[in-house]
Amino acid sequence: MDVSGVLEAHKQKFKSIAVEGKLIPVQYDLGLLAAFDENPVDTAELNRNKDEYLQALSRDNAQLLFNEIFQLQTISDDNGVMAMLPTPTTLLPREKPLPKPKPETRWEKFAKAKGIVNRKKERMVYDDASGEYKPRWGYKAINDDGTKDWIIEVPAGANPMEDQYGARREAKKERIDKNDKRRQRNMEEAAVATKMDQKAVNKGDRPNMDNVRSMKRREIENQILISKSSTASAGKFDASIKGDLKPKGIKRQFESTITDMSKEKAGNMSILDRVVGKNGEDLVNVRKAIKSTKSRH
Amino acid sequence: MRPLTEVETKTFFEKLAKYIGRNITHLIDRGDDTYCFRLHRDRVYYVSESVMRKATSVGRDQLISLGICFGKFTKTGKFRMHVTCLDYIAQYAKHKVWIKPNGEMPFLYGNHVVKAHIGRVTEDTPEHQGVIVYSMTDVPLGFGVTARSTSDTRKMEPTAIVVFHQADIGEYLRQEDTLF
Amino acid sequence: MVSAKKGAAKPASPQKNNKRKVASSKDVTSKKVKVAAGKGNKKAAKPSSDDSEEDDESWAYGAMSGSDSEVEEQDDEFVSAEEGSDIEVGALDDDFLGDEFAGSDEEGKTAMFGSDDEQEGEGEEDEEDIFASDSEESDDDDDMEAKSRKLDAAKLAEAEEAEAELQTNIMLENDKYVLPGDDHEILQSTDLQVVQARIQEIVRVLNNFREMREGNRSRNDYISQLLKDLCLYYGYNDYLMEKLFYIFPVSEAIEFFEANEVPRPITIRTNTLKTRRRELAQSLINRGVNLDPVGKWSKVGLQVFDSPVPIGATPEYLAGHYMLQAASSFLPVMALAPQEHERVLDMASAPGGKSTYIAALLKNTGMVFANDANKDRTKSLVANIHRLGVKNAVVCNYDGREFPGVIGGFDRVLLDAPCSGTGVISKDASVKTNKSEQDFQMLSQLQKQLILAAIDSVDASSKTGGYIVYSTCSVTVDENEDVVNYALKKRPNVKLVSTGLDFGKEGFTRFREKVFHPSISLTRRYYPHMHNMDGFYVAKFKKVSNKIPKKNEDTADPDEEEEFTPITEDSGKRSRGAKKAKAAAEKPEEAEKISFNADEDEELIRASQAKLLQTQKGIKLRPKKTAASSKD
Repeated sequence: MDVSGVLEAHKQKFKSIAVEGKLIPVQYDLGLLAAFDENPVDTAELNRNKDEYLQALSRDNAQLLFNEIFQLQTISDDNGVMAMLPTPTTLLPREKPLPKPKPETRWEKFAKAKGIVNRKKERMVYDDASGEYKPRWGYKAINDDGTKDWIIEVPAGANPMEDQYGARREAKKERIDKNDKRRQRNMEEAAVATKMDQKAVNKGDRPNMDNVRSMKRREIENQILISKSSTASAGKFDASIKGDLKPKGIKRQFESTITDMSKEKAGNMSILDRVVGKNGEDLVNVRKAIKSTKSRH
Repeated sequence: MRPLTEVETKTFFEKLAKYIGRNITHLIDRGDDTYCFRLHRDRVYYVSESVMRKATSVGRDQLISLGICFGKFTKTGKFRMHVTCLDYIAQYAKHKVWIKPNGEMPFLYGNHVVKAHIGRVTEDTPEHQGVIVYSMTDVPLGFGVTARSTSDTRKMEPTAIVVFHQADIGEYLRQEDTLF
Repeated sequence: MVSAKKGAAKPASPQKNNKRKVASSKDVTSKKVKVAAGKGNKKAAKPSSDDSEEDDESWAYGAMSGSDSEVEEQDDEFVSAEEGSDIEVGALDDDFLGDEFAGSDEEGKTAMFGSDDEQEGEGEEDEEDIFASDSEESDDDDDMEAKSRKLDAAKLAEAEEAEAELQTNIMLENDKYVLPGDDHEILQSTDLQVVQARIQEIVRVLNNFREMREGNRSRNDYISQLLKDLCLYYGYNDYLMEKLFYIFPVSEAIEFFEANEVPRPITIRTNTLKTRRRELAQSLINRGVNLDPVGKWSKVGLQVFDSPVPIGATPEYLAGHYMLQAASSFLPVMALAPQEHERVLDMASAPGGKSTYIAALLKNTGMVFANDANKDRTKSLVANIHRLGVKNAVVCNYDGREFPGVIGGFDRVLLDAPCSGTGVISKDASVKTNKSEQDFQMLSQLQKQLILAAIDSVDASSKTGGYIVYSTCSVTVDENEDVVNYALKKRPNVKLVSTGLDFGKEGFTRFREKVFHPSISLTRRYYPHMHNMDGFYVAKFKKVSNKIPKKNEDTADPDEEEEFTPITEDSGKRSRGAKKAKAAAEKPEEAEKISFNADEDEELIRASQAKLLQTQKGIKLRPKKTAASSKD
């Protein structure tokens, strides 16, 4: 059976996959499935019939891109044949805006002012005693702030019976607590700073201490009020203390009695549409239909 | 006195739509005058804008009523229609029931409508549909909710309830103290 | 010696009693009488001296005790004889009883002392009559002969009276009716038929006083007697009776009182917002109601004669096709005649008959402010407003006197003022007795304040309106003409206009010692006996300008209040003269030229007043008046 006629007819229906007439070769970034055609646009043709010209141009370029993709190495698995894309070469602009600079901590500000620069210290240090590297701090640290010294000299004038190891542990704990407080303070200040006017933040102003305090007070008051109303009677029958905080009622905001009537009407109409539309009745808006027929006549 | 909030309007319209459906638009958007719904002491009043504007001069404690009262919001936030709105909903009602003269007084005493008392019913009234109850002389007597659809009603016994009583004009006498 | 003592008594033998009686009656001058009333406790009776007045008193007690209380007397002599024993005696008196009964019938006496009611009643009546006539003249009671003579005289009088009663029908026109004399107590005791007969007689005499008066009896004698009888017969208190009596000519007053005893016909008003009178009548007739249009004057009223169903609970009523409303309360609204698109205030609106009528006349356009001072009554007001389908009403709960302050500028105001209700006695008979002078004073003061508030609430520059209607369901003058007169005086920027009602009696322009503004004849009065509706009063004002003209210091001579306090006839005349002078002196140039004597010029003054009225300008107070003319 000769199917060449059929094949020929079939071929006639489609264009050739070969694209010609590109003076400058088209550039590809297959990692992004992108093709860049730098050939100048035929403005005369574009002006004559824009749609057809653009359509033909995109078709040709898309064909070229597909040709390129089909050149790639392929693997075949359950999902079908996959082409392995190379890594993209084109840099894309960032999707999200740049993060805002974090508010500086007090130390950072001080260090900046004094020109102190952080000197990087290694995490692991060599331990002469055991002859191996040990972490400078943390778990299994080399000498946890002198608490691992095998002998400690009693300081002059100190009680000889005092536990010097215990004293060092205490001192370390205090330092940790102090640092923790500072960290907390920095966080609070940062929280206020983010709420502050953006201009002030940009200027690098530190948050006002008063703001911080009032914010803290407000937070505490809120917590007290919540705890007060967290009884079985929602705080109704609890003994009240003089000068106690009073929970502020929910202040509901209603519209004023005399309003813009057209606005009110429109609002009511939209609510009505939601209410009645749900029931699916009255698909034809009779009122509108009547109005439109009226206006036509 | 204040306008209804969005939630209130929705609750209110949902109830009203059971009786007059989309015809609520005729209440909101009237040709003759601007009318509005106003809430005063839990009750919803339907009143023309000009009357409402004048009524703002009356103090909250002294204002007893204005325009026509459509019903009231219960403490649980539901809306309860009062018989006082009968004039309006009778005007725009889609489904109606006419009762015979011997059924008038039982209905006006607050009883449900039984099949034996039914004179006429609007065709194709579905089940649980709000209906207006008329006397045979076309005087609106109140409103209720159908127990069965019109087609089901045909098979029922004469003593079976066809329309559940919701409100009737007898309440003007019976509930004068609580209605207003 | 006789004294009354109480406590559990040993029944004494009749003989002993009699004996004691006789003895004591002989010993009148030296007797001591102790009387105590009540049963349970032993009270020390107070000893009385033996003078005749005290004696009378003891008599009175004795007579009364015959009916309900027990009085025991204890003879001192007997006490000395049988010590510690109490002697029970019924109602006893020394001399009279001894004298009256001792000789005649002993059994009768004991029966009287005892519990036989019939006999006791008889005895009592006699006793009372005698006592009544006796008490008038307070001379020697101990004289038994005089007593018996008096008794005879009283019996005679009674017989005569009975005869007169019998002859009432055949009495000729010229027969003179003899006033029953000064003995009021006798009059009180007689029964109602006698009283009625007497009322008729006195009315007959008063109607033709010159010919029928009896000798030198003055008109006042007759009237005071008549007032007493009317109070008794119809059950009014004295104050109210006097107030009402003088409003009418004598025979009309009786008709008025008679009409107050009969209920007025039930009337209903068609609610034209929902139906028409013909349709309503048809549907009510179908229910078996017997009715008729109320009269030519109203196109919405129906009069119900009888009904097999309660007229206030028919489906038509509940559907708001009609309102149960007295015919009289149509009148103020008809006088008000509200026009469409007007803003109308009803100051005292509960239960809403008039407010809904106003709304019906407005055809639900414009708006109605229905106010009532009583919060409980606003419920029925709101119910009626909703039932009748009134869509433009605002119901509020203010004291009417606050009104221009709340909201003013109305086109029309209806003030159906709270009143004593003397026009609706047939509905509420309690008015007859529970209204005192203070009530009337308070009410008229309130009405005066309200009418000023009503006037101030109206916008005179309204294109269609500017009217105030004042109405009461009372017939007394100080709630009606007096209040209207006060309003005219206080607010010279209003004038009375015709009410537009083509029936009803004209308001008084003078009443007893008071003289009112002549334009008050434009107001209308309605009486139960004349119009077969409740007693009613309607006045309609037109507000001419929104400014209240200020009065000059010169004219502020007599204090404003003083003009309304009751004045004596003398001062009344003077003020009448002064008022005439004012009225005549409207044109200043005239007043300056002429100094006049009001009495001489009375005819001229009256003529000029009539002229003024014809031009419908109302009486304006002269802006400035010279001291000379005001004093005149």
